[in-house]
Amino acid sequence: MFNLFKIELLRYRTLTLGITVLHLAALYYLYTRGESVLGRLVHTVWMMLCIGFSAGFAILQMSLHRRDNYWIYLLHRPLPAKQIFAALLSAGIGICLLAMIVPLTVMIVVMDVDQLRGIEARHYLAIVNAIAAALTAYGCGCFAALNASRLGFLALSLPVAFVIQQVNDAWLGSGILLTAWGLLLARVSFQEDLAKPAKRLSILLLTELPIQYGCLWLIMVAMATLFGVNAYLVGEDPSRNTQAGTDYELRFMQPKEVMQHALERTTHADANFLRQQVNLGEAMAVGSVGFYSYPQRYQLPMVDSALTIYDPAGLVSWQFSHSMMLFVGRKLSDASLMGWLAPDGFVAVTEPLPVTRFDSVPWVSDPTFILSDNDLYQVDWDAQRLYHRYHNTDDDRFNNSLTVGENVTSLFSNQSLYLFSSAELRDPTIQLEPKAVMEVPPSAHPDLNKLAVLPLVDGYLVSALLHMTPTTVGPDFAQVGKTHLQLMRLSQQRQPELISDTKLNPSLSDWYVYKEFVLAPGIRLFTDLVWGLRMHKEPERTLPLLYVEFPTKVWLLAGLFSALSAATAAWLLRQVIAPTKVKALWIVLCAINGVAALLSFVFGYYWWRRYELQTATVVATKSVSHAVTQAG
Amino acid sequence: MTAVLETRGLSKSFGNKNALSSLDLRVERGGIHALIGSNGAGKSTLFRLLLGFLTPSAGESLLLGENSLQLSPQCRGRVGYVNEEHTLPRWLQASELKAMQRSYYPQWNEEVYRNVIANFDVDPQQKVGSLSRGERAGFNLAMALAQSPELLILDEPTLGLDVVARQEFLDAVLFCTQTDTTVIYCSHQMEEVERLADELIILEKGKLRLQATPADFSTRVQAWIVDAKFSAVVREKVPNLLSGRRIEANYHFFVLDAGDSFGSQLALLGIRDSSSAPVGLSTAVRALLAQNHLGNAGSND
Repeated sequence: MFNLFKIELLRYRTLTLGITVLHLAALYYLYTRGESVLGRLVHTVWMMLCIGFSAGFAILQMSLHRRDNYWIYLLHRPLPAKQIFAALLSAGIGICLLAMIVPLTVMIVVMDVDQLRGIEARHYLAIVNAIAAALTAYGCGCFAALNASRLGFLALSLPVAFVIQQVNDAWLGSGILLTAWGLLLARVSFQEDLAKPAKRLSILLLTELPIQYGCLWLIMVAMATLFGVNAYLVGEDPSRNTQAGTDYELRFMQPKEVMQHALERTTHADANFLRQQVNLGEAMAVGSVGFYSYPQRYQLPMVDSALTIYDPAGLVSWQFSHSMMLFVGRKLSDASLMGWLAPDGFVAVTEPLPVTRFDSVPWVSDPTFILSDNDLYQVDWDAQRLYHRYHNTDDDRFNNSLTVGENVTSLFSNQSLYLFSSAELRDPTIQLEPKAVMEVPPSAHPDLNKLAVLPLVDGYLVSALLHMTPTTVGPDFAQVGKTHLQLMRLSQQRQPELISDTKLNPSLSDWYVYKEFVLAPGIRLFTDLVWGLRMHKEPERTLPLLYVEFPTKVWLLAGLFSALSAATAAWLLRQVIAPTKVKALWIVLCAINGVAALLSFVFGYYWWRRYELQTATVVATKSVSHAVTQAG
Repeated sequence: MTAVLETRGLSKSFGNKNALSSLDLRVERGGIHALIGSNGAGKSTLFRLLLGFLTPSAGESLLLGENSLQLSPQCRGRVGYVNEEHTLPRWLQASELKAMQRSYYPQWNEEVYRNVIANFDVDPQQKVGSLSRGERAGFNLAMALAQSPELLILDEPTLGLDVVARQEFLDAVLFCTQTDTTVIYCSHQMEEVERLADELIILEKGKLRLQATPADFSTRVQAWIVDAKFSAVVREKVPNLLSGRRIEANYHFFVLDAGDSFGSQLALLGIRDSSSAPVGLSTAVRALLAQNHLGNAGSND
């Protein structure tokens, strides 16, 4: 086995060394330009390249072996197939690690030695994550090259999940799970007869799920292209409702136009007065709540978008340390340690380490503001002082949405919108208090990027587009048809007052919203479940089937497509020689995953005769053969 | 005698095309068995089925007594396989590859290796990829024989070799006769078969057409020459007609198992002026394969 491993390594030594050197040079070049490989953008691109290389290499490696005579040469030897697989797998993984992970590790070590980047133990977790991604991609690449299904390449959708990094406690667990899945795919596809489909139900299911998921994506891409072409040629986009009054129409309006739109549809007594105020005032779009708005301690470093604050006067970089839970200051010129920044203020390097630490991972909002879960701090660089400006209740959790406008400053927590006076915010000597607080329901959080604030004489006018239908694929069913444009008046003295509440037509057509459910209900519901659990979504978004009322036509269409798929599969399987339980599983899969499963069966196996077809000639020739032999 | 390979009702179809149809074949231990057939006869499919790289549509096959679908590593170690491409790791030196092969086979016979490789100009330090096709074939065969296999399958191993390389290769194969190795030799080159084979196995369209010794087979096929005007009679009335061709004023045809009295039978059909000629092995095989290849014997006259 070791010999096989060795010759496989030798085979790709030039390629591997070349890529390793080039890779290292590229990362070092980026480093000299001030770009860290752990920065979100660079790291996302890097992860895509890592996954692409690993999967591509696996496809190359296995494709060279799988050619008829080469495959026999590889496997026809006095070694168990699993040992041969282990040798190839070890060599392939070794090459991926050498070409991809070693340069990454070297760069992290270089940055660690450099000290200025504040590298700590959790940064090395990025290596673990990258290894998991490379291994998953390698496994899926092997599967793509060797699997009996001609659509095996669609399993490459599995490692893409690593590109979408999530900051939650499940990332490592899901990473390991995906890696195990990817390697299992590689193992089960490594068999003497490559054209033989899996006969064990569990294996069939594990290999089919990613393929059928990929099939659904292929259908979606094809449909999006068709819709795009249609929109170009006819001028109508079938994926959108064309009538006025949809949220899509409001999405592109300026904040003041949105407010006017809301005021035109209300009978509120102050509507005219407010219209004048809107005409005269300046509305501010409230800063968005990003995907990574709630940092976690020891999170993956690629989402450290705001953990460093720079002292422009002293030319010192203050990097937040997850292990110490305070900022560590180092001189930009020589990376010498300058001190620490803790909730109690600056501590010089000559003094003992501060006792008080930040109780949560903070965001740096701009060169002067620091936000932790419950506190807002302001730095005075000249005076080398840290001011504690505001503390919210422990139930609230601030995120990185601090927007400082000319007059108004807005800040979201996971429960509320806080509005401060910008003038008061700028003066650290004033005890900061919010001018208004508006409760924001958690279910509205996914689309908090469409809020606007306009200061009034006696408070604020806030417009909010709630439950917007996302433009991305697969909008949550729980949000469909709930889009509202709300206009509220806020002030310190009064409870928030609803001025206008306009229901908007969904901008996406029913077909666009429910297409995945209609074409592959099982995949869509499974995806909702996985992402809901992983992202800690509300129950109605995680298990929509239990909470959301689907239109009757959607049920009918989904049922029709599933029944047709199952019936077609059953009809095609009549002639197929396969165990009854396998046929039954295929029919069930087609009933659950609809068109995607049927596509996977037909174009993955049936079309290419991957399942044996019992033809009359095979049976008939048996007796003839005997006769001819005797004649000979 | 025990069989080195056996198939029972072995069938393999790719969709509606039957590559093998209910093949019942038994090859006894010892000697060189030539597997012959035109393109698409099912020879390579048979090898892949025997080695477990294809799953049969029906029937089963046994290799050294083990089911092909469950061949143990030990059994694989007793079966050598050399294919026409001589697929070897081209990036290794010959000595490295030999050392690796040797490590797999405890029964490795260095003397056999040296005897066989001596016929070929292979520098141990040379990369396999830089060996000529003939040298690579010889190197491959030397390693396969040094494994002391009980069964050696050679699938068109001389394809693409020049005359000299082919000659050296055949000499090396003949070396097997000095060992206990049974050889299944697949080739389209009839002169090779004539020289090597102890038994002929002829496949045609996925079916076993004939299994016999070359001498037996040659005597069973007869060539006859009659006047061209009788060609229609021959085609219609002569049983076991293999193939026929009109050459100038005569009609030349081949028959299988015609017997000594065939001339009298022709006379009864009114063909009195006929003559027969001895048939070589390659001509006999060609005539046999031509029968169904043409669809209708003598259709090209």
